[in-house]
Amino acid sequence: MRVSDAILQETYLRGIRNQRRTLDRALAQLGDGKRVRHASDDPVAAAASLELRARLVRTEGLRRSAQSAAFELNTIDVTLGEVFNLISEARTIALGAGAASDQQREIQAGQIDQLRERLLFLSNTEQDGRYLFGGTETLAPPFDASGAYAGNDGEAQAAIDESQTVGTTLSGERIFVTDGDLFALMGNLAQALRDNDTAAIEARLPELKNALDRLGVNRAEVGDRLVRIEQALDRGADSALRLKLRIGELEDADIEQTAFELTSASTTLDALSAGAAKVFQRSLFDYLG
Amino acid sequence: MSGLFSYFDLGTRALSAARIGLQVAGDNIANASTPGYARRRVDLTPGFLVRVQGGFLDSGVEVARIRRAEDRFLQVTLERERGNLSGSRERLRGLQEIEATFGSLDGDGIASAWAGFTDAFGNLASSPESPALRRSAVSSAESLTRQIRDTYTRLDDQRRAEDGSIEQLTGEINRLANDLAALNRRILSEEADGAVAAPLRDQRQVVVESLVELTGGSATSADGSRVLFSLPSGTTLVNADTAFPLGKTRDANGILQLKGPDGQIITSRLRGGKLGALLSVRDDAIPARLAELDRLAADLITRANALTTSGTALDGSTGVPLFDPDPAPATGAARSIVVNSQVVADPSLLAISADGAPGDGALAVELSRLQTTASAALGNRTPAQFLAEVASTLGGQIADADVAGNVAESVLDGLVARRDSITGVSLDEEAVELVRFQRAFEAAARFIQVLNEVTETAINLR
Repeated sequence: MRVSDAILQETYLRGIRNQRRTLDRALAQLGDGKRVRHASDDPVAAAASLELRARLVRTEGLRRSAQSAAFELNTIDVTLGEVFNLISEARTIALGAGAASDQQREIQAGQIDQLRERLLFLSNTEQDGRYLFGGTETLAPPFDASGAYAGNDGEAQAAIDESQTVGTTLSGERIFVTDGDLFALMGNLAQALRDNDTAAIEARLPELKNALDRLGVNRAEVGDRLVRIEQALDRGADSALRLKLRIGELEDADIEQTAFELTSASTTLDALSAGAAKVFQRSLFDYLG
Repeated sequence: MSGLFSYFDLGTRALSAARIGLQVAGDNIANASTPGYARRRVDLTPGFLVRVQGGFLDSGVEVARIRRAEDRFLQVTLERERGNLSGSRERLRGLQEIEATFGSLDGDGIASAWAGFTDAFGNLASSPESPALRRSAVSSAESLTRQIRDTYTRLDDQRRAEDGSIEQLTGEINRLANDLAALNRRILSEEADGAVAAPLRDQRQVVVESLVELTGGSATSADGSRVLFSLPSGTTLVNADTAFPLGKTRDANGILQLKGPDGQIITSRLRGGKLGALLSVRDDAIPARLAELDRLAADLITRANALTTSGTALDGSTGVPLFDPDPAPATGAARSIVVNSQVVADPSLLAISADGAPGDGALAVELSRLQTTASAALGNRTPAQFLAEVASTLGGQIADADVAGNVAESVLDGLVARRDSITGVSLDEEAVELVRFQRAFEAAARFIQVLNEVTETAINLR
C-alpha cells in the first residue's frame, strides 16, 4: 500500500483518540468508583441494579417501620408490666384486708382508689401523641374517668417485612374490660373495703388472680410480636447487606483493573507520541541539498 | 522538417513539460493537507513522429494531461460509511440527551423520587396521625409528580429542540443541493473540451460528501461529469443541473414535516445520515419515552387513587383522591399529574385509614408498596421494573448507537486510509518528483545550450 502523509497523520490521530477515550473512561471510573453511572454504560447491569435499588429502599423502609413498631410495643410491654404490678399490689391489699381494722380498711380503700386512678392513667398511655390502647382510635384517650371504652377493637398495623405486619396498638377493651372489667373490679374492691364486706372482698380475690393471669398472657403475646420484629429486623439487615453488595458488584468499578487500564493507556500514549515525533521529522527534503 | 532550428522547439517543449511537472509537484505539496484534495499527476507522452534518415523519431515530449487520482467505487463506499457514521453519532447524542433527562442511576431521577415516596409513606404507616409525617408524605408525593412532569417537559423541550435542528439542517441540505447543481453546470461547461476540471471536481466532492453525511443519500454519475443525488426515500434531490429542494410544512402538532418535489410528505422515509438520526430521535425515541411516562403516571394515579378514595381522612371525610387528574387521562397523564390541591393544602385529608379510625395506616402501607407491586397496566411489572426497563432499553439503544458509530468509524478509517493511499499526497514522493523534474529541466536547458553552440558553429562555418 502506498502510504501518503495524510495516512500517517490519520493513524497517529486515531491512536491518540482511542487512547484518550480509554483514559477518559478510566479516569471517570476512578473519580467516583462507579463503572455503571448511566444505563448505557451497561444496560443489563443497570436494569438489575435499578430494580435492586428499589428493593433496597423498600427493605430499609420496612426496617425503619419495624424499628418504630418495636419502640411502641416496648412501651406497651412496659405499661402492661406496670399494670401487672398494680394489680398485684391491689391483690396484696385485698389479701391483707381480712386482718385489718375498719380504719385501716378505709385507708386501704383510699389506696385502691389511687391504684384505679393509676390504672386509668396507664390505660391511656400515649407515645408521640398516639394512644396505644384505643385500637385504631389513636387520637382520643380510650378510657374516660368512669372506665368506659371509647376506642375500637382494631389494631394499627405496621409492616415489618414484605409479607408480615404486626399490631402496634392494642384494643384496651380486650385488655382491660372483656373477661373482667378491671376498672369495675377496682371500684368494687374499694367499695367492699369501705363497706367492710368481707365476703365481697374475698370474692374479688379470684377475679384479681384471673386478671393477673390474663395480663401475663397478653404480655407474652406482646413479647411474641417483639420477637417476630427482631427476626424480621435481622433478616432485613441481611437482605439489605446482600442487596448493597449486589448493587456494588453491578455498578462499582474494579479499581485495580481500571488503574491498570489507565497506566497502560498512558504508556501507549507516550509511546505513540515518541513514535510520531520520530516519523514526522523524517522527510526526504532534509536529505536533498 | 529536420532542420537544426526545429530542435529548439524540442528543447522548449521539454523545458515546459519539466516546468509543468514542477508546478504539479508544488501544487501537491501546497495542498498536502487540504481536505478533499486529490493528488495530481502529469501524464507525459512522446510528441508527434518525424521522419529522419534511417527511421522515425519523436519530436520531444508533450504533456498529455494532468490527472486527478480517484477511485469512484471506493469513493461511493466511503461516502455511505460517512453517512452511517454521522447518523450514528447524531443518534448517540440525541439518545444520551434523553438519558441525561432520566437522571443517573443513583441521582435525582423518577426512580429515586419514587423511593422517597415509598419511604415517606412507609414512615407514615407507623404513625398515621402524625401531622409532620403527613406533611412529609405529601411533599414526597409532590416531588414524585414534579419529577415525572419535569422529565416529561424536558423530553418535550428536547423534541422541540431537535425539531429546530431539523429545520436548520433542511436549509443546509437545500443550500448544498443548489451548490451541487451549480457545480454540475460549471463542470459541464469547463470540461466541454475534454480536459478535467480537477479543482471543481474537488469542490464538488466536498459538497457530495457533506450531502451524504447529512442525508445518507447517494450520488451516482452516469457519464462521469454530472452527478445525480438521491435521498434514502428514493426522492431525487439533484438531477444533473437542477436542484429539487426539500419542502417544509408544519403538521397539526407544530412538528416540521418534509416534502418531496411532488409535494408528498416523505419525513418517515428519510432515515439516513444526520437528518435521519435527528428524525428518528424526534419521531421515535422521544415519543416512545413520553408514552412510557404517560403509562407510568396513569398507573400511579389509578392505583393510588383507588386506595385513597376507599380510605378515610383524619377528619373522617372520604373519597379524597391523592392525585389529580382523576381519573387519569389516556394521554398526557405525565404532563398533568399533580397531588390533589386539597391534600396539599391540608395533609390531614390524606385518606390512608382503611377502618376509618385515625390510628390505622393500612393504606399508607399499600401506598408504600406501590413501587414494588406489579400492575397489569404496566404489563404485570412493578413501577421499579418498568423504570428499570425504560432505562435499560434506552441504555441498550445508546450502546448500540455507540457500537454502530465505532464500527462505522473504524470502517471509515480503513476506507480513508485506502483512499488516501490513492489520492493522498506523499511529501517524500513529491520531493522525488521535484528532483526528477528539476534534473529534467536542467538537462533540457543543457540541450538548448548545446544546440546553441552547434548552431553557432554552423553559422561560423565558412
